[in-house]
Amino acid sequence: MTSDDRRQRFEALAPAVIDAIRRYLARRTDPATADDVLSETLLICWRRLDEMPGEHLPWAYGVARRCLANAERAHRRQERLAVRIAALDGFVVAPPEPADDELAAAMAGLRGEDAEILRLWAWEDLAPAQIAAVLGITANATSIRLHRAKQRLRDELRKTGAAAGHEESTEGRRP
Amino acid sequence: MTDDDLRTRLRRTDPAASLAPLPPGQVSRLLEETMTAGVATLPARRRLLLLLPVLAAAAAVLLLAGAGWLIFRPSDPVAILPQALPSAAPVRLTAAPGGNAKCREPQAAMLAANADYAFAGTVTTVGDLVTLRVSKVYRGPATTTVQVEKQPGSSETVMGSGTFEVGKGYLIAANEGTLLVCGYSGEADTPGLLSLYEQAF
Repeated sequence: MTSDDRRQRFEALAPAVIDAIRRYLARRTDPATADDVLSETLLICWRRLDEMPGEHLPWAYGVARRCLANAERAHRRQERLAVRIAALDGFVVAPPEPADDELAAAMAGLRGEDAEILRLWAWEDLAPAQIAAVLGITANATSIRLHRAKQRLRDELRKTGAAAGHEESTEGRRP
Repeated sequence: MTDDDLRTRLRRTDPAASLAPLPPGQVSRLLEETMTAGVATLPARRRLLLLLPVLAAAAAVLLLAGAGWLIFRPSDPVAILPQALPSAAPVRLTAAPGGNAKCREPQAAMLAANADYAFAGTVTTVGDLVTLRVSKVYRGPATTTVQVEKQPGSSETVMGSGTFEVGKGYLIAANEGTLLVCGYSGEADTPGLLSLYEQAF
């Protein structure tokens, strides 16, 4: 592939990747970190363009996932936020409407990996085989984990629903 | 509750549901920065090390004081070190007298007269060392990588928008190892900075 071909291919697929990864990051981290991790993810996609599979989104989510994990290990987020709050643009997200505190509490009650597989399924709208590509596990293992995670979420919802007596809880936790 | 109900309920809480798409201009900029950063993948033959002790307080004051594009000078100097020299121990330059944060409007002639090293580069990693991939050397020895070392206690805040950010392009000038930041170094897209460089070199 010549460098022009490479550029053309990247320019063709990158806008969709940018859109998807921005959403992925907006769901999981603060705007400043999202901004950094988006740049880093794109850079890796560009450098490893030749390795990118035809179905590139799950692959790109996988890259973003690892970059985000690194970023969160490396940075003291609060400090950075304070410094950079003025530079933010585009990543500010309004709270979801309407707030579903019961669901938020149920999600918070799950183990991290269960909650994450449910987010990939519902928010990123991925099929089990795609989730498998993001997480680097087999499709079979993904299907089993996803099935269990849904079941655990239903259990949690029943628990929180029963505890709240189906009243609106006011102090909802966000996932 | 069926799978579909569960998914629908989860989707209603999607924090990114209201995320506006990035304006096309920003998408193109992001693409350009990414591809420019990725082009120069030659192995570093020679590395220059910049020591960058910047006082957080001074930077914060300057961030507030900066009009238009930010111009400020740290009260401590910055060392630019040819690391490839045999047994070159890190050189610490003495602090410039005074911490005067006021800057005159940058002049191309001043830049041309004072900068002995100037380059354009993109930040590839940020940590204790900020690594920049050099895309163009305006003055000084050719190199592919420059590292900026932050000293303990110094701020992450340096110039332009206030930080070195991965993937962003910067124009940086130095004199005898001292980074020229008083309007002479900053983010590559800082209004006026590129033309200043083009005029000067």
